[in-house]
Amino acid sequence: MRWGRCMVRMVLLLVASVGVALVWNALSPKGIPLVGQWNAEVGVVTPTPDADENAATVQTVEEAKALWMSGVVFLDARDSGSYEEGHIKGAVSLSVYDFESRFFDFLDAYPPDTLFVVYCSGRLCDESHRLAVLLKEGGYSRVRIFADGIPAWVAAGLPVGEGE
Amino acid sequence: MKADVENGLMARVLPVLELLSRWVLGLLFIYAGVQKIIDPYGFAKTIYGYGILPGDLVNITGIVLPWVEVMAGGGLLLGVWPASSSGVISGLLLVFMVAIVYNIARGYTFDCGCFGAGDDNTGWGTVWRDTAMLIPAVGILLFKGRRRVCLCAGGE
Repeated sequence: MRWGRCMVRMVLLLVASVGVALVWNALSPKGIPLVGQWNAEVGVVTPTPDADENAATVQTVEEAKALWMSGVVFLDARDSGSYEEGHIKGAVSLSVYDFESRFFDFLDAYPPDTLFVVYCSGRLCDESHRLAVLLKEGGYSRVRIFADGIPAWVAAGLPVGEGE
Repeated sequence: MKADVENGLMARVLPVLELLSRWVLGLLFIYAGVQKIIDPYGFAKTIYGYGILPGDLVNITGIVLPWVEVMAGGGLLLGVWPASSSGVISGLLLVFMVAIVYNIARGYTFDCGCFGAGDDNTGWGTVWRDTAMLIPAVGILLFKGRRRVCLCAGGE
């Protein structure tokens, strides 16, 4: 066996894989961008970043508190069990895991120009990002993500609600 | 005389072992790759969870790596460039093992994403599993005899 030829073929195999992968990713409806948003300082991390969403991210607890005080609707994107254990006081549960069954009630309750602040359990969870995407697809264009989510809210000693 | 008998036995057993190793490893890697290809979003998150690659490389790795697994696995299964395919697979296994051990060393365990998202957590178990796959992979790479059931380039 000739090792040189083996090495060349390994490189060819890798190059062919890269080619197939890029074509597949470009054609697949599940394809993701070549570069994701993995910088937690910018906002919630996600493979499928959205430039508008990053610009609209609520970066600090103070900013979130100001929005909350002004009566903006907060949406908890986590599963309903986590919501019941503790959520930002007054926040409405809209779990991404049962979004479809709950969304019609939202269409009735909130006009399309409603400002929402969505959150999950910090910058490393992606439920808030997924909920923001779903809401935008559903016609709500004013959605902001509170990136630090419930842990920062609790740590700051701000009001928390429990139960349904 | 006894050595001849043993050699004859080895000459008959090793090619069968080589073929079985190729089929099993090939199927495992195709399966593992397909699980990731159907959920690139989840696999990119898994790669991010390993906390090793710079952010700009996470998505592209999530896109390309599963196809390397499928192509190399397919090479083993069909007997196309089997030695080169097993070389690539050995390399992948070594990279996986280093990534997992590095995270064990700093106290991280998480969904390993080995066969797609949400299967099992990293730990010494996954390292041993990788070792168990590395042995036949290296065996295929070093196999000197005539390979059975190969579509092309049975040597390399």
